[in-house]
Amino acid sequence: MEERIIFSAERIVKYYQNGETGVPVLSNISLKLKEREFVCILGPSGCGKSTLLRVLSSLEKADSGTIALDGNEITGPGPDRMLIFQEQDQLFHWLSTRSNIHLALGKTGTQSEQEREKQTTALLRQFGLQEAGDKFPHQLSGGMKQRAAIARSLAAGPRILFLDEPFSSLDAMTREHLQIFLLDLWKRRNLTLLFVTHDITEAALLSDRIIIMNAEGKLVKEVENTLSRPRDRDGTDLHKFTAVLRQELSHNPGL
Amino acid sequence: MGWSHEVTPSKRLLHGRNRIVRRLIWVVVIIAGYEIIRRGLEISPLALPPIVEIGSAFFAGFGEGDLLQQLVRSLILIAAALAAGAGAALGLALLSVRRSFFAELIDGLVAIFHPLPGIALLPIVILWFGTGTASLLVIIIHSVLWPMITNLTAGLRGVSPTQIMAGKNLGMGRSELFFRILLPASLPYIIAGMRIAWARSWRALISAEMVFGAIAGAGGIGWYLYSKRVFMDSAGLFAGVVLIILIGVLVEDVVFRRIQRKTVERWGMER
Repeated sequence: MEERIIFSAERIVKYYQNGETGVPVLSNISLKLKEREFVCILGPSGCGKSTLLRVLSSLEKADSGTIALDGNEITGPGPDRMLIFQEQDQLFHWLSTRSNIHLALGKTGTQSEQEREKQTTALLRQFGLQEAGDKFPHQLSGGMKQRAAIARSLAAGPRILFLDEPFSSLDAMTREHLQIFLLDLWKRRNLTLLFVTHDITEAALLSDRIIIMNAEGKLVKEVENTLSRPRDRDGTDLHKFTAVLRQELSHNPGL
Repeated sequence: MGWSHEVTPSKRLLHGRNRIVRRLIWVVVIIAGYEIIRRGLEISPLALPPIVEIGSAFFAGFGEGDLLQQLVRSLILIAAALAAGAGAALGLALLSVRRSFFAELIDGLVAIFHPLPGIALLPIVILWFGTGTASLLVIIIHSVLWPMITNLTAGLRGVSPTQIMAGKNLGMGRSELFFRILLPASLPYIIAGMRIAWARSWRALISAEMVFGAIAGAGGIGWYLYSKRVFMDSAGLFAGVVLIILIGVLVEDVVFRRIQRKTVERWGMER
């Protein structure tokens, strides 16, 4: 079955000003995401992955190139594309977890306050944050903070979710737990995800497709991830696949 | 931002009550020391009036309405000027953060006027505005404006870029970003600025009232003090000073401490 293209980026170019000359961070990047696809962008630290996600969510301007959602070109930021940041201070620390989520709920004004409260409670429960609803962000663990951030993003009703190394600052056990949690969420809610990481195993475990980005901000290779789901983090199939990916990464100069 | 440790409500209450009790004990010790020195050294009641007289002057002042009326006049002036000064500071701080052209200008103005005591401006202000309420307002706004601008710009610049992006990502417009993100995120700086502004304006107001009172009998708590000196009413003079101290402690402990506990401490931004 051919799936519909939900999001596309065409020839995105971005320079950072460095004295007289510009240093390229994003070199002619084009990509397409199909509905309900889980795509990982894999690349070394500092290769421009975060910049790419900020450009795709229109939080930063590119020097040239276009982005389109459902075939319509878009220019400004909005809750149609929600970005989960790596930083753990993305929650508004002056609001309780519940208020953080409530704030993001459809600002269209079609829902009653009662409806919003119900939705907030449902999200808190789904994300295992019932006990954390009235707590403030500084009282949450790192894993809870990232879960709350994802819950808040989903409350905004996005068509697509961008994730910028969301688990990289967490301890290994929490990270593995959240990877499984995200996979489950993706399946249950039919999400479309673009997930940036420098962790090869993470990319292999999560994605349908892996796009490799090099240190010059170029997308250099696309690899289909055909491993059957559910995947075993310690299985031989996954290990073989990560070996292939590692090979690909080492082929590319500048990595 | 720090790790907050758990404080159970009962513990906090006990802690707070202990603090008040300890403070009251010190007040009693100081009063006792004052009386011992006064009597022991046989100091003239004109220089150090007996505590009983100060106390009765204090309550008499309230009873007759003189002291209370003057106090209310002073506090209303300060509240109005604080509000106006804080509003102006917010506007200027925003301008400074958004436009680098204005940033240089405003930084320059702050560098010039921040260290300048309001009372030093008094002769010029009197020349321009006379000895009325307008001059008092100018002096207070001067002492509020510059520290508030300094703190607000620091606060606005310090807001996490991630949180600003998160707000934009949620589709917030300019004013929503300001009221829902920038303002609450810089609240610790706003509170710190208000504290300095209050302390400075309270001092400036009392000094100005003393000078104005001397010229035109304009009123206010400063004028109350001044007139007590003129009539050699030492007990009344001391009662005025006690009242000024009480107001200072009340504003700090009741107003600022409470705001701090309810906001930035609760949010884990400060302890």
